Amino acid sequence: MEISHEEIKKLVELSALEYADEDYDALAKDFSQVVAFVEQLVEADIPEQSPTARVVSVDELREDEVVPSMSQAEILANAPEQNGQAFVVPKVVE
Amino acid sequence: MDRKEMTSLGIIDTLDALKSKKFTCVELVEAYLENIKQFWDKNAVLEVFDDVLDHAREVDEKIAQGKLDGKLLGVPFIIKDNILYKGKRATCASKFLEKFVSPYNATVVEKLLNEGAVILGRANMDEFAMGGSTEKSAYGPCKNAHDDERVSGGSSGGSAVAVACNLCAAALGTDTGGSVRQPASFNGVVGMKPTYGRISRYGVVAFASSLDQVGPMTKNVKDNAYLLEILAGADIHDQTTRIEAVDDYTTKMDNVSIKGMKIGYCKELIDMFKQSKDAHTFDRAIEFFKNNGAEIVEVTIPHIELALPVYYILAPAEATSNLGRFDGVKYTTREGNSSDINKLYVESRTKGFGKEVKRRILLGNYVLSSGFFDAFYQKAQKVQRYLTYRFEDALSQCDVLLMPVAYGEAFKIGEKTSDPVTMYLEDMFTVPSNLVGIPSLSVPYEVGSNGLPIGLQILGRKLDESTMYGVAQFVEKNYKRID
Repeated sequence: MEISHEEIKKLVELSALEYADEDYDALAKDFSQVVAFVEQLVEADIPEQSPTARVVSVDELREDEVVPSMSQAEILANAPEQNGQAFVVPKVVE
Repeated sequence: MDRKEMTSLGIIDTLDALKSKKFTCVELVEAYLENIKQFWDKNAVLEVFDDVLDHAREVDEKIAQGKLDGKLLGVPFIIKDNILYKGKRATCASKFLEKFVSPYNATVVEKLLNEGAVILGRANMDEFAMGGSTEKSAYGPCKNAHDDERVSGGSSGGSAVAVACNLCAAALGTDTGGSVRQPASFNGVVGMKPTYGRISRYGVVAFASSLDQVGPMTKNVKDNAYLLEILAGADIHDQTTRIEAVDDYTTKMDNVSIKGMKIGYCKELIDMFKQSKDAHTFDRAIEFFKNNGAEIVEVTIPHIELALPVYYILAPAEATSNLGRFDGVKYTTREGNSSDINKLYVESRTKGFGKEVKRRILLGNYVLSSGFFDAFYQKAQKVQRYLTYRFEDALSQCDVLLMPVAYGEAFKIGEKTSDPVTMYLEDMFTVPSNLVGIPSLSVPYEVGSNGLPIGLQILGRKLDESTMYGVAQFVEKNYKRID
């Protein structure tokens, strides 16, 4: 399946990424290959199995216990910009 | 004992030697640091931590005082760069996390430290564990332990090379679709991916959470089982961990008898492997078990070829969500100084992530987007369920399954980077056990046409790591190559 530049541009935007205009040809080629590769799945006729055979089991829930969590300082320590109390970001409300 | 001899020891032998005072922990760590320096150009190690000799001195003091508790007392480890060690950097071999300092210990690190291990440094990997060659590290490719022109495999390539070149006594890797077993095979070490949930993922940077597992990488099978006994177990911080008691793998594996055991192989996969120039290696494995009294069972797993497309839908879908947290706000790297928050996200992510990671984010968003969700994601889950049943069925006909690990020995650096799908096909034999959650390991047994190591993959039933280890140990002790 050929994927149009417009479709890829939409995806790039959804993914919060950016590509230079000259990169789109190569990207579209690579991406079409990958999609063609996973597309063989769409056609496959597979009998349905009961959805109870889950790889991940979440049956056992633990008691809710109050324990100390990481401190504010530890959480902020890796931030590119912070003011000691919060992450600093550009203004988002007018 | 000289440097070479000292650093060739695995976990259990190192413990014995330290306790019987054949050398001190400081001498041992200095020997490993010397090896790391000697093999620096392999690019297996991204950083040696600056406090390793302090830790070694503490161990020596303990030993001098006769305080010998600690199942890993003084054993030097290297950990993959996506595992958090408090106060140390963890970058996932990404520029995005270049300056990230771990605020807490991963459960596996906590367990290593509690038992007295000395963690020497962090190992190179494919960026965010996405890749099968460690060529996609932002810090350059890691070279194969035995051939500088060939890949180390991946994504835990650095960990595998660290074990193979004796840069540590053992290492930790992570395995989402073969990332422990394939580099183990390429470098000639033992690498194991446990039953999903057997080892906690807490503090391990998530790639595809429903498939990720930490895996021990060791110089021999017994060490691997010994390490699993320490690492395995339920964890309050990881709800997907299994609550069943941890087995006594090291004892149980010794009781495994090959005579009369049912050893299976999957017909469809072996047909695919016939295209490999090292195809004869698998026939020899079958022959070996037959000669040793095992009953060989051929099983069929219809649609097994779909495991790869299923994996390349589910893993990117989960990855795209997991990598959403890297936005230029919370984790170290912010690019540009835009006054627009959306631009800030875009610039940070565009510059922070490498090419392959971005490709998988796009693919993940594609398969999750409206209009495609049913056809791709839901269908992939359906096939995953189907394969889970088929594997259960296969493993009811035999005790373990044998498989190749990859299409042969390590390929050349740059050989498979031209298009993404060629690289993805490498994962055919390793992806199934992640998808169905069963344990699997790679044990060295053959060499390929270029003289490089090839591992045999052994897959067991859920939570039955012991049988798998027993079979692997039998191969390690008794398999003789015909050169």
